[in-house]
Amino acid sequence: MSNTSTPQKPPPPLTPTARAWRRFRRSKLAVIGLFMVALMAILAIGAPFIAQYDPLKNDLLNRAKPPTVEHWFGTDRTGRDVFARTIYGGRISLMVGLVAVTLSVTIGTIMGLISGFYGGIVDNFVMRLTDVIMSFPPIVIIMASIPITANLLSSDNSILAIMAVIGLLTWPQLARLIRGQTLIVRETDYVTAAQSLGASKTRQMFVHILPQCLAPLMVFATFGIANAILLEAGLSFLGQGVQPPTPSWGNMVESARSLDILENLPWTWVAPGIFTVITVVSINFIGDALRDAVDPRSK
Amino acid sequence: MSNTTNGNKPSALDGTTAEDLLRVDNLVKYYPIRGGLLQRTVAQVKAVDSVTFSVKKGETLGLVGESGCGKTTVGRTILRLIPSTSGKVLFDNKDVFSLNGTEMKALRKDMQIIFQDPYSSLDPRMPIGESVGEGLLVHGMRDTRKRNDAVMEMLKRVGLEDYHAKRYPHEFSGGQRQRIGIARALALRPKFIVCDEPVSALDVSIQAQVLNLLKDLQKDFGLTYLFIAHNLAVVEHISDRVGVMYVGKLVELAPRDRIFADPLHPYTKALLSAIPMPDPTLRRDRMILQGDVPSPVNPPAGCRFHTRCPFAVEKCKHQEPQLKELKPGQFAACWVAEDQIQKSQA
Repeated sequence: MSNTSTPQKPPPPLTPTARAWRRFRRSKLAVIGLFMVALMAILAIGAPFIAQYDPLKNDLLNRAKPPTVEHWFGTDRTGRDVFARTIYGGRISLMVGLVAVTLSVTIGTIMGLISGFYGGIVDNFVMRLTDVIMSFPPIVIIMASIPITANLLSSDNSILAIMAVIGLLTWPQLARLIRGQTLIVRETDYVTAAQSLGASKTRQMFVHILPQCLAPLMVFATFGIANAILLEAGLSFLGQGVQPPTPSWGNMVESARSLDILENLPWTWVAPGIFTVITVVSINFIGDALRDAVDPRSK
Repeated sequence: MSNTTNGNKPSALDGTTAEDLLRVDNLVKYYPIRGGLLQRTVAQVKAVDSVTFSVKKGETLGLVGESGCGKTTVGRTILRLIPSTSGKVLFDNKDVFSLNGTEMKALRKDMQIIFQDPYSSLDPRMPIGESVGEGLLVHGMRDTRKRNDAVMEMLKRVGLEDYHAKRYPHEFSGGQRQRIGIARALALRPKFIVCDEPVSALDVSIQAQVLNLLKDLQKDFGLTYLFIAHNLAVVEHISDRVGVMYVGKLVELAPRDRIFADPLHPYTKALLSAIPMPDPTLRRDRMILQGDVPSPVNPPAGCRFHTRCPFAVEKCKHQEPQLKELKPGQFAACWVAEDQIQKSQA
């Protein structure tokens, strides 16, 4: 059909990111997961506008009511609106997940890059540090360090302490992933080329090596958020996490430890439980699809 | 710098060092092999063992040898991309190994490298325009528009189009990538380029294009090349002088025509006789070497080539020959060749 002599401009190039996104969209579960997580995020961010009730305000006339039109998820034993508490609790849970993972990713990335790039004594030191941190059972050390951290941060607010502790204790896995990748990439000719052009070590690490580590980094971050949410819920359930009356999904479920609430007021603990499960499962679906999408071997 | 006229240093070739852009003096690179519980050094890979040569301004020095003979290590050590074990490199009368960070960065503008493998020498996550402009950026050209103009000019100069700048390396062929690598090295307008087997990963048809491009650029920019290769035909095409390496040592260094017409070192002779001739009826005596290349961890005593040399005499096993000017401009490290020439002169 077309004239063969006309030089045809080839289609615009697909960046590696664009190709990964195309592969990601192929997974239905991941797209649903992304939608659910987005919904949770909207509920959490917009909580003050969505909830008609104050999550902390007692209403003794409407105590322990099952779900109604006014109170969608019912009320608890002091008359607080469970829906309001659930979405405000989502704020806490998601924030803990995000902040803890941001901290963990930042430390892990820098430690991994430095360790792999410089090698030698630095590498040995960082790797032994990761060994030490990874050899503790996480729940135990987290429970032990939360009061200490809260004290150090001189805040009654244990949320800060939880975020700091989770962040400070989960970076070693990422540091190892990044270190391994750095060891491979730093030997490539294009890093040598950058060195020969006069690029600083920082530039070599962050401009040339780091982008090659983005795939494991994003997968780690996704699963990390889910894990941090679960950890926070677990800690709050054990009474070590977010302290009442501030709602979090964990401490709302914790109230079900009382047999009376477990049997007679199921709506107060089923809602936060389901929200936790949906969020964590959705994030894990996203993580799975992401891992496949960024794998250069897949098409 | 005064000329010591001891007659066995190749740098004495021209009587003065004034026009030498690069002088490499007894360059040594050993890689430690660590072992045992305490990770002590148990042995050393003698990748480059006391190599001395110089490169004149505007000249192309070809460096040939088998795989693993230390050619690439020489190139990278000169540019201080690998730390040297000992020795001295003078570039533009500056002692490269004693410069501090700032001075070294400034010097990097003048000396660049082109790599063998066009697939691993470009950052796969960076549009090639950025790769080409990176040198300009790190040396302080922050103005994006000015940098883009310089990049476009460079891309056109190596035969690419400006719309290529936004593309990623995987969208180019091997030959195109090699051109991009050349553009990146040239963007800083260096004086000296180490070409580390720049065409050996390319198709034969593309090799000629890239070689001619390199020659044109040399003329236009007044470049000096250290051209590392294992293909003698390629070296013959581009070099003014040729150095031959064997197990970490320079065994012969001579003007191109002398190397190809009248090689002195038996190893050079063997290499030359391995060049395939495009004439099946031609009969010739090929010099086929026996045995394997000795390990650079434990090189033979005396002349390193004596284990495979058909002319080796007793002396070769014990005494190491030095690189000497046996014929005008032609240096070789060989006892047998030295004796022959002395006899013919006597």
